[in-house]
Amino acid sequence: MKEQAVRFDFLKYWKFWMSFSGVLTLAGIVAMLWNAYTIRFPLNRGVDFTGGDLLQLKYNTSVTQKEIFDLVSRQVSKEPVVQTGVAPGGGTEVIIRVESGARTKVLDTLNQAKPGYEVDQDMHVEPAFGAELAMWGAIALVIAWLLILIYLGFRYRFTFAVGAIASLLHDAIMVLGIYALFRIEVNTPFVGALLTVLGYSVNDTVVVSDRIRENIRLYRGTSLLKLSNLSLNQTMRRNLLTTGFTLLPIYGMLLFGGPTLKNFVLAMGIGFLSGVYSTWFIAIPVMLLLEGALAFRRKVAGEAETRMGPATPGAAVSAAASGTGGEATAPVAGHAGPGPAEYKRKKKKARRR
Amino acid sequence: MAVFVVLAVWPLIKLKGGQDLVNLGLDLKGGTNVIAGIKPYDPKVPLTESDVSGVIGVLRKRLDPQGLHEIILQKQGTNRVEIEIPGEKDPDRVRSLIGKTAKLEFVYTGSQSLPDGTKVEEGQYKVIATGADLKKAELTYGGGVGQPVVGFAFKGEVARTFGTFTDQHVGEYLTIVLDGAVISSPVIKQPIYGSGIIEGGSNGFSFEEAGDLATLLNAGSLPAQVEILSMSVVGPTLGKSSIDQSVKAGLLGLVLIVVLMIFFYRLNGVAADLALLYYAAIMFFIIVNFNVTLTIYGIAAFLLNIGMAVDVNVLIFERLREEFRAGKTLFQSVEAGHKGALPAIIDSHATMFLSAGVLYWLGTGTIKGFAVMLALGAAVNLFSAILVTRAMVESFLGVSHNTKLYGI
Repeated sequence: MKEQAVRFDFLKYWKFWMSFSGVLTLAGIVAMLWNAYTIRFPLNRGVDFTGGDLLQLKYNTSVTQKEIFDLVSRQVSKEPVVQTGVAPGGGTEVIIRVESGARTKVLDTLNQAKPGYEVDQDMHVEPAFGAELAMWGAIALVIAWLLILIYLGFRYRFTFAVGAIASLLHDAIMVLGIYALFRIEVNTPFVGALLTVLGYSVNDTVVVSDRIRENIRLYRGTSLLKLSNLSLNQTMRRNLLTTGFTLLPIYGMLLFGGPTLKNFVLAMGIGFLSGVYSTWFIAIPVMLLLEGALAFRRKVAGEAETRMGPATPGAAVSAAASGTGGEATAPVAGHAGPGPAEYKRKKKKARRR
Repeated sequence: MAVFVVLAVWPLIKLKGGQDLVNLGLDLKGGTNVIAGIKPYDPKVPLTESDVSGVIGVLRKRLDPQGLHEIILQKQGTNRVEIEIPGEKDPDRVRSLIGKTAKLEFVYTGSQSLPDGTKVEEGQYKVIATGADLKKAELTYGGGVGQPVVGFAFKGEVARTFGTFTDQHVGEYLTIVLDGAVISSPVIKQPIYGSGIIEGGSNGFSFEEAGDLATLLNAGSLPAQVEILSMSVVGPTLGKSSIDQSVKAGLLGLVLIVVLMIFFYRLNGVAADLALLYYAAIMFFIIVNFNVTLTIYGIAAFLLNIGMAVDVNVLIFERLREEFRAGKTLFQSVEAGHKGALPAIIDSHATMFLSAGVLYWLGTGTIKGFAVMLALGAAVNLFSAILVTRAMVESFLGVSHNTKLYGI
């Protein structure tokens, strides 16, 4: 095998990286649980998911949040949400969120007490309809995720596909966790952003998988672990660059965009960054773990299989522990066959892409 | 190469044709978007497809009586309809136009004149004629003081029976009921054959009220019930600032991309950048000529596409580098680079299409715009990033073989 400089041993500390992700995921879940307790739902939902009336008004003069809040809360039974901010180009921008149907009362009050506004947005959503939109949003995410799994399952080995969608799951949870933590509003466009993250973040995993596939053909007889590490290194530059270039317009939009666009684009930014990380530290380790586990099961059937190279005994141990509950590492090592540390790969497996 | 130059210039010329040709979505030009659900009047009776198309037809006539076609009505699923009304700023008016059943009845109330707003039950009085019997209704002026009224004309047969009836009952009251409530209860002064007017009860109609009622009558009554599920009004000024912001963002992103591509890949980068500009030109061309609706999310997708467009080039160029370092000649590397990078390129675009497809299937108007733009960009990208870049690179190769220039 032609030794190429392996600059980073991505997989050496895979346990550390995975636990790091685990901690972040846990933090996200805790944030969501906390939200579920305080605001009745894991995420801060926008009007199009909860139902209700939203008014976005622009005043040319200066208006305080307190004035509007006092005026509005008298008209409605549930406490309204009133936000004010400086409008681009001067004046005050006011966002009022009230229960479904209260819109007319609120506008009437404002017309009497605080006129002189311009309506930027006036949105009404029936609660039942909003709940329906939210449900379809979640379903769409699951469907896209499954479709990607199926597609990749056809194009690559099944274990690659599972690793890839595990990394997508990780990316989605990262985005959701941050949105939960900072209570950033979640609405239909956000679901769109997540779907885009799913479709895009898998790209760098695909690049690596394709490279591993090629390397398997080129360097028969080398351990999958070494080949994976090699492939990750070979594709590192291009993965960083492709994601980097795509992040450039996102950066532009974050800098210049309005609040609605910013929320939408932020999800993608977080997701794409997580995408690169998850390809290295989630997709490939998961794939390798599965290969190890599968290998062990096949070993019982008497076939030669893919092995983790002894370079990381930790990986071999976990392969035994994860898939096989209790069976010792000894059988794996014992079946090492004649002397050499490198295990042979079954040709059939090598030929299967 | 000459072919490409021509093809490149042609879309740019079309672009000069005018930016006003770009069809803006409601969130950018202002207007009202309504999603309505259709239910049968009688919950025990299932909703038929003709009910639904009937409803859509009636709504279209109500909202767009002159057939200007600015208003879009689109059936969604089996019993929903999405309505887009550009420029409309009054949600209450839209609500009344859409929600009213508009069932008009002329009933005989004998010697009684009912006050306005009285609820009338089905079958409580004898129905002499209905809105369906009208040939035409229009806003006109009359009723003694020249205030706005609704003039109407009956269809042939009904005109006669109506005339006979009113002839026999002069001096008694004929009450006009709209959607179960009295709007007017005048005395029959003389026989009415063929045509007459409806005055707005004791208070009369305003100009707008009479006009709307005429529109409603002309459009017909709704065969099924319409319920407004969501209504969103966007003011026009919000859109202008959104567009400005995205243009700034886009320019920044584009400049950074162009510069960095050259930084990393020298001449190859130049080729990729030219292909990128060409890509943008094709996209503009398609957007303008195929009347693609542009929402703020559509613009975001377009900007995203620009970032993704160079991804393909990065993959090819990196592969090219590898092949070159493995010992191939410059030209061979170009060839091998394209070939080697292809599977990954296909798969990444395929997953993008899957995502865009699910998004399209899920989404409401604005998000559909995002999905369409994303998919469109990915498709055009496959063409321009691969073929066009390659053509450019090969023509550059014709000029210079200095490998240093190619960022390898």
